[in-house]
Amino acid sequence: MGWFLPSAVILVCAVLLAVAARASSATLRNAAMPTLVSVIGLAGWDLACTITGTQIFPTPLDTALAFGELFESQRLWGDVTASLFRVTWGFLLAAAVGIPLGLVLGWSTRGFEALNPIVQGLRPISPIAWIPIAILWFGIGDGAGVFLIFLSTFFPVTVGTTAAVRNISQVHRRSAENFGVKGFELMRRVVLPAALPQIITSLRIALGVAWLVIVAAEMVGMESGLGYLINDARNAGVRYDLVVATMIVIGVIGVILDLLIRRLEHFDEVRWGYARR
Amino acid sequence: MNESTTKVAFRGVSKEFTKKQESLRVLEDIDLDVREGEFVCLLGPSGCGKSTLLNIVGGFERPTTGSVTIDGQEVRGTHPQRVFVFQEYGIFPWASVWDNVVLGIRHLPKAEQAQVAQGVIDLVGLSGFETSYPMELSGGMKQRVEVARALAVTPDVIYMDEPFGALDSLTRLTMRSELIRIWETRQPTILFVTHDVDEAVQLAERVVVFSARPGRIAGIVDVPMEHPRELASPEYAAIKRELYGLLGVTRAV
Repeated sequence: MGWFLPSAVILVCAVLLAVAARASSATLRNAAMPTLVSVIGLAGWDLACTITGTQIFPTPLDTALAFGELFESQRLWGDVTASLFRVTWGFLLAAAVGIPLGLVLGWSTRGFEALNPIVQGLRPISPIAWIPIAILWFGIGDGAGVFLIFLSTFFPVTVGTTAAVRNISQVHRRSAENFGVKGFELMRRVVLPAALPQIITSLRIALGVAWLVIVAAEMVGMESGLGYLINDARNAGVRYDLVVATMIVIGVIGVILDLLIRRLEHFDEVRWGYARR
Repeated sequence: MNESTTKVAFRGVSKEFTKKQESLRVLEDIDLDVREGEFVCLLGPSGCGKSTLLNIVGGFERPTTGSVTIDGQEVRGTHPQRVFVFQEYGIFPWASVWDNVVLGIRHLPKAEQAQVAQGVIDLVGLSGFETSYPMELSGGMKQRVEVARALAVTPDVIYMDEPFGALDSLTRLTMRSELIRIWETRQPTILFVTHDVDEAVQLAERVVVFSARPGRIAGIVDVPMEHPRELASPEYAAIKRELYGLLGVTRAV
């Protein structure tokens, strides 16, 4: 009988989906469609567990119960803060170094010629490959995590900022020149604001990368954080229900981080950069 | 105003660009005097070097040979009182109308800035849009912002490189009469590049016609008509005919 309930749910949802797809109300379509598709997905997941008769892979219900366990044990909160702490500091440090460096590289031809080969040479090295060195230099604490996140975000931010500055249109450069804007004022009034929309885009990409890297780094070389939690759940008792629940937590936090950083795109000073693309 | 004062003088100006070891001559031996407060149109086909000439007098490029002087001084770079108005919106999209307009007068005390900026914003008809951003404005309004930004510095020369080229034809007509009104109010010297014969006849006191590459002066035509100009008059038609003749274009399509 384990297959009957999910099959019925899928069938009902499929019918509702077909109805909703024809609905004239946009709000109904926007709200109903994703919900119904999610429910079909969950039911399909449950059905697959029943049909294969797996003893290890958790059903949606097992996963929901694992959530309860994670919250109850109060361990989740510590691991979430550990991961977020490393990502926040690594990201902020990388932005603080990468944005000014990118502005200089983009504006000064000589600086670009001198430093760009190094940046381009280091950029393709996966941050994961740095883990042994990170541990060697910083031990297995937060320092190594912050360092790894710094590395993973520094390159996208620097390269993105450099490209943004090099893309500044000639009319804007000439306008600035015409009105005698130079030196630091040129940076503040023209170069930085002209590059800002693209800088924000590179920050957004970098934050996404950071959230991917921290989980991997914690699985390999750290003793706390969401990545470590996944590894620990598997190693300590083949608790795949905890593994899947943690994965969902990682996904939700990733979405929240992206939503937060996207708010930067709504300021009047940068909206122009997204309007026509 | 002293009619005979020479403001801008071009003497034997030539320009070559080198690309992949091939040199391309875009301007040849340009001699031209522009009087103080005069409105001169540089008219020619695309690629005749008229924009290059404007970039040279504006200080963005150097001539290969020859020289350009303004008030007797050789042009060696840009000058904050000689302002360029670009075709593709040189105003800053990240700054409000107000912040764009005060760019050239940012060193003045705030109160003075405010007085000047409000004056030119009113003059170009943008009152009420001070806090708007360029992306919220139409093409014509953006170009008004750029004109206001130029006027704010009380320019003695304004360079306009097909400033209305991106606008629709009705807006372009309005902008032309506005420009004439502003020119009559402020009397700056204006060098205006266009490939549009009508635009040249409607605006200029003198039209300098360029031949195709390498650009040479094919002829200079006076437009001795008072503003507002009657576009259906025989005089207007005669001047147009003369310009088409100099451009080597047939008058019937």
